[in-house]
Amino acid sequence: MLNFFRRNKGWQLFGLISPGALWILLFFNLPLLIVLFISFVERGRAGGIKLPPVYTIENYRQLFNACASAFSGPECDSFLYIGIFGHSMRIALVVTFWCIAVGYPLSYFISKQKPIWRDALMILVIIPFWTNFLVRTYALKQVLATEGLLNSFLMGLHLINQPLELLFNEFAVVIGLIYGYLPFAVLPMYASIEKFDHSLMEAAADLGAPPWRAFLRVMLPMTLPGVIAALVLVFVPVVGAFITPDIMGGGKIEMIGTLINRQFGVSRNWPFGSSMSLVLMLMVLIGVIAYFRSSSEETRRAM
Amino acid sequence: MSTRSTVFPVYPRQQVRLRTRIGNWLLGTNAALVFGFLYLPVLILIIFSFNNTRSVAVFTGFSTQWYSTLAQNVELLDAARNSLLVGLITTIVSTLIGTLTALAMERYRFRLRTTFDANLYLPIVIPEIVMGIALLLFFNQALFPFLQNAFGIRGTTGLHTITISHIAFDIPFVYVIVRARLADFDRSLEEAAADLGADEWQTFKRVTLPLLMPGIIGGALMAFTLSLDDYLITAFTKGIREQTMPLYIYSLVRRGVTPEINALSTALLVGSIGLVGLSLTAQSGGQVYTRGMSLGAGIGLGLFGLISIFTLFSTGALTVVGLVVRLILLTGFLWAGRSYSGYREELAETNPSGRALAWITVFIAAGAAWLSALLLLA
Repeated sequence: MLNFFRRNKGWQLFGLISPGALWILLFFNLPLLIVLFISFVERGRAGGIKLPPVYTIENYRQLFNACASAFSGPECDSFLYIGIFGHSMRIALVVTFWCIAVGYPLSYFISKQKPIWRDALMILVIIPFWTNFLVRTYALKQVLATEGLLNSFLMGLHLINQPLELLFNEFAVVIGLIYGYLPFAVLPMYASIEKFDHSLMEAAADLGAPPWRAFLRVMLPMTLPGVIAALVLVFVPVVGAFITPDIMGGGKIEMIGTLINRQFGVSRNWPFGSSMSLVLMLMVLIGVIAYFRSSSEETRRAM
Repeated sequence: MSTRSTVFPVYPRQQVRLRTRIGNWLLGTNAALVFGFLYLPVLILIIFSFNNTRSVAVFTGFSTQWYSTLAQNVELLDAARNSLLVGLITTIVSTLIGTLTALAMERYRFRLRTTFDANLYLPIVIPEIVMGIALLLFFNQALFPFLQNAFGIRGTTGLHTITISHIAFDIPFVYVIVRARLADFDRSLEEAAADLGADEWQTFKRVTLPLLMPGIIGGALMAFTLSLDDYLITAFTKGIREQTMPLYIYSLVRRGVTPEINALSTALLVGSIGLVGLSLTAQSGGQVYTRGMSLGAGIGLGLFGLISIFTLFSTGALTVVGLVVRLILLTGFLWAGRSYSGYREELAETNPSGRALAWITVFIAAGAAWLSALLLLA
């Protein structure tokens, strides 16, 4: 048996790769194909799909419909679903903007420290990656809660008379997402700022550039790959986020993730949920592929 | 730019110094605010898990009562046991499969290789909720109807479907970590082994595998952590009755804010930081850490076996099956003994700070093994 494998390279390869290939094809690729199939059939009366399947592109059209038939009541919100997609993207853009705006100076600050401090601060940036995302979101929730520390602190200072409603609104969701994904932005930006040769800034200053111009024309262009990586690494997971909008938004803030989840919960519209998942996946993949095309192998390795 | 300055402006020295100072001050403030934002909530979470009243806003006194309520919470202990079971099976299977796949992809050239490589990265990049609903639909609309029609078996969701799904998303992570290790691999070591007369299998067992071990153990611990922490995919593939830890916590967190959740979160925080810390030390490459982990795990299991035999014997609750299981656990000591000589050799060659870290990994591994045995056998 062993001798047979020893002699035959082809069978060796087959033996090594078949378990992984089988598992991934069967439990990842096939399920995605089933999502694709279900996104093109009509829904059943009590959830699931209509049998025998009736093919339709209604699930994709519904996304662009002005009327939201799946919600209770004949309300005709203007472009509800596509509006939620747009809203999610806007939230994701705001979150990405803040993560980069705050993360870039932080990365710069860390890169300027002495090596021992630099390592210590980077560990502080990395630790959140190691901790349960749910637990971190809860940590923020208990601070912002009506009976939480921030409210009692502000009331103790007599700045406010009654607790503020800090949770269950868009602000809470945005703060929660920044809290969750800021480390994702710092890591790649730090990698590129750390490699940046700071003597170039001195050279620019010697040649008469004021600091802001030296930054805009020398440092920013040279660290741009890190900024773009940060943009992708934050935007992609945030646009499809579910846990943060659900916990911090308390069901009041709808994002793509919560909308999809609703189709598999109370709305029981699996085909529509499937079509939205595929659109979301396509959006994310386009972003990731564009990123991989634009960045060189070297900058990605550096991360 | 056309208006490039040809005359060098000379800034007064003091003005430059003031500017730099203001700039540095702003940078420092930003850093302090960011770290405060990231860590204060977690710190507050930990502090209020020791509060002696139900408040999470006013600290009235130190107590560990919320931890003792946790230890008596049957629902929670069940969930923890399920998580551990799913995590262990997931880790073993996905580490094995992921390592084999990494070997195949790194060492062989074949058609569709790059396509399959990209395909292996997909589960990492696509939104988790998409993978969750894909698996939900797969089980309910494809696999179960198929099993019913073809074999007359009624499929149900439960811990097994959760495990299958966790393995599917863990394989890519193990694959990436092990493959990174393989890419740095010095193949001349294998050639040297072959020159010295080792056959392929011996070379693999005695040279390749030990050198890959840090990557494999790192990948395994990462897989375990991801499986223990996963909520979304678990929520879509769970059965009606069984819960896992994240499912249980999620249901609590959605309802509100209580110090019990703080205590539970703190426990989880310590656990996952410990695990990932172990994973990273293993990946750092020193054999002393992987040996130390196996030493620690052996001691932990052995000690648990020994002590539980005595306590169960003295209370008269020892059954034959229980005794056999605990005797098997006792072999952990043999395992520890075997690792110890290798560990000592490696330890002698490590610098003092590495040595301290190595002993810490031994203790953490022992603690983790002890806790796992306690939860699974309680």
